[in-house]
Amino acid sequence: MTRPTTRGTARGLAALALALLPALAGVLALGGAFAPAQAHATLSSSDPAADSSVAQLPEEVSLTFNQEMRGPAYVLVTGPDGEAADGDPTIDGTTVTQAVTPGAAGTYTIAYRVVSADGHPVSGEIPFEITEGTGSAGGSEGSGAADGATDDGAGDPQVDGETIESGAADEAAGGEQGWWSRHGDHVLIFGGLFVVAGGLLYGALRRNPA
Amino acid sequence: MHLPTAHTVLAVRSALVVGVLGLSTVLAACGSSSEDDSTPAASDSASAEAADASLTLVDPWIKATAEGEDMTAAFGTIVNDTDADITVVGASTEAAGVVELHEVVSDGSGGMLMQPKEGGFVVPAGGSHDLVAGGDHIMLMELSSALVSGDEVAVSLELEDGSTVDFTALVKPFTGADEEYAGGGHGGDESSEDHSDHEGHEGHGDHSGHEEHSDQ
Amino acid sequence: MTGMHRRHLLAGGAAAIGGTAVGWGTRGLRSEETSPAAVAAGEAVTGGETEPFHGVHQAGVVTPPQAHTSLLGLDLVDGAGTEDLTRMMRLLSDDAARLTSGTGALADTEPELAVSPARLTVTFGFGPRVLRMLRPAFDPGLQELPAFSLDRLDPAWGQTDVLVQVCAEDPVTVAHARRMLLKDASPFATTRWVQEGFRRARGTERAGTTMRNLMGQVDGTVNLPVEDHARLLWSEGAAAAFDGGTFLVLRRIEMDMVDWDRTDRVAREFTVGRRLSDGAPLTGDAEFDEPDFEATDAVGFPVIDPASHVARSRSENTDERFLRRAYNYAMPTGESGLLFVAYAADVERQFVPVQQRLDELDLLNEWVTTIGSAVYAVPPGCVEGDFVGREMLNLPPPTAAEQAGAGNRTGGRA
Repeated sequence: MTRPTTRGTARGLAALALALLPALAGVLALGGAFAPAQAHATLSSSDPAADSSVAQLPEEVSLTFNQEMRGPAYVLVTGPDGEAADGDPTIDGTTVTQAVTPGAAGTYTIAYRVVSADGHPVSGEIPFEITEGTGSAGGSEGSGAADGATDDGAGDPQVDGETIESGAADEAAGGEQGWWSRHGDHVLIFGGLFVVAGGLLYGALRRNPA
Repeated sequence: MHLPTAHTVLAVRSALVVGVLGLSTVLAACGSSSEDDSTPAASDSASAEAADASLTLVDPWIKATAEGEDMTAAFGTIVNDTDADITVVGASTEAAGVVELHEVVSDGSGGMLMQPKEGGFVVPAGGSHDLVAGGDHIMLMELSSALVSGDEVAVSLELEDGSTVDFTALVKPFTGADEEYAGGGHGGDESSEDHSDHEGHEGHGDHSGHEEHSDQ
Repeated sequence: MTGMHRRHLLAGGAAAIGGTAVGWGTRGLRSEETSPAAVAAGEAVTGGETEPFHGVHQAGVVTPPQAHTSLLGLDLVDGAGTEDLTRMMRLLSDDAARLTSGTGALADTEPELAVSPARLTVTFGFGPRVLRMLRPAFDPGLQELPAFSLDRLDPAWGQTDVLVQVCAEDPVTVAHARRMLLKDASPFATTRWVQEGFRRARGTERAGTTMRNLMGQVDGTVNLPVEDHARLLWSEGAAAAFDGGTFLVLRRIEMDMVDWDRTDRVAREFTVGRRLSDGAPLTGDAEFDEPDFEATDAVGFPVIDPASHVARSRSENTDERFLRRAYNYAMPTGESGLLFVAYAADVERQFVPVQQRLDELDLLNEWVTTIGSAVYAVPPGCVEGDFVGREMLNLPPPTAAEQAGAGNRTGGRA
């Protein structure tokens, strides 16, 4: 009974994955450093975790790899209000930490590229949901938020969209991160495509081992 | 084939012209009354042939003196562009009190001996005569001062007809030919054992045969 | 620019760099015709090829790099002054003129080794201490390089008073020339170091192919085109007796080949920003394609990382370029690296900013360390019968008025 259904689902997924294959191949070709990097350093975990839902954006996001990372590291945290990363990431052994500015509820993505101890770039994206976010206007702590959210922002919505935007603008003026603000679209489009296609292909192959 | 260089000096049979060549520290030994034809660029053998030149000293150089040494030697190649043999009978320079034409000969017991060359250097018509360490050379003795590497020294060759050929020699550091002045003696008293050792080491026997070449 | 300059660039300089293939082609023909040796059919003998020693500029700068180099670092003996340096340069220039033309030097004990010049060039440079000796009559404004934080300098490879760069296609020619030059320099100077370097042997690759360093990278793709030589290579108006001269930066860059072995191709290409296979930028198809620093990968990060060697060595300021003429080195003891040789009309303006950027950040720094560093003023060339550096060595002492003027100019440059 479930067999035809399963097979049908698998077939459908496989077809979808195949349809997306050119895109996937393109993605792999574009990011030449992308796939082989997995053979070296890989992301072990992140906070927030991929595809997780959390009430509030934490003060910082962290990425933990399976080996020591050397840098340079680039971490972008993109949400409904745009870029939420605040300042440069720090590398401590296997962990890369990026301060973020609290933001509104919605879908966020951590995009990262970190160079590992063996010289490999490791890059990827981590999507997650913020269910509550900083919905209400609080405004008065704006400067503190721009400094890296020194107060405990979790569950304590204080920063509105405008403040976040001005923080991001400061950041852009600061130089290094400005580039990323301009290219946020690419992150979402290409990265999303990759994740979707990869996931579908993986799922299809798993369900229908030939 | 000789490339014209600073030290390829033409000689004009009796004009007494020093090839100055724009170099700065030529020791003007022979009252260089360089007149109308002393164009600095006229230093290659081509122009020497064009003029009434007969004898040229190509690539002349002098071995720099070591500390305390008061003698040394000049080397080069004498080129005769005329149709007749030319004999060099002597040489002079302000840098040395005594200048002799020397040859190196076998001393009969495996060593080599240096001595004044009877009759001077005969440069064959259209040919040349090498002045080399271990062979014929111009001996400079009773130097007025040390000859330092990189200096330039004006020297005059005297030919059998009484005319002279002037050239400028570059002083070069050279470790060969040391034995010729070993012990400070010269000519007759050259009989020390380490002298002959040096001769063998330097392979002078190979060079002493270079008497005359009909071409370059 | 003088007529002589222009003529030289047209006649020699342009062919030397821009039209490398053409230049070598004609020389090859000439050599085949004149080579006296018996040659197997189809085998070209090129040892007779020459590079002119005399000219407005010294040879060995825009000369297409020969396969071998020997860099001689000399220190003047204690008490040596301008007169001694003059004597030395007279001797060494004479040696160079003869040897580069395929003739034994004066007092050459092995003249047979000189008959195949194999494009021999001999290039002279004066270090900062010599220039201080010549001040204020001569002051082209050369400064020692500033300290770079990542340098691990060993004085054994450090700044010397004089540099002699000997280059030829044949290592025997280089060895003989080096020996002759060092013999004639010996009364005046001691040898601090000899740095030997090599590129591909003549005929191994098409002439003009960008060299590879021993890390396998195509090295030197971005070089100074001939149309920029007048402005960025040759000195003009910087100092009396220095028009047509240039400055040389020598950096001995050691490569950590053991760690490089642990680094795979992806990491290697990411580090440099160029493909290993052909040196094309990661955003391009061929070696000389312009890198696209805006191009992004799947996740949206730049394909050429901003910290990569290509990105960090690139400047918006087109003045921050110089002529590169590097050689590989590999010691019998295992060390290997690059003899980075660069020529520029103004080291401070053209080279230092680039090196400062690389010192701040360059992914390649993980594997390369500069262990020797020196700068030299390379005097203009000389005419036949003259010697390199004569004009600057024999400058009359400046008058008080001139001295004041020179002081102003130097101040402006610093």
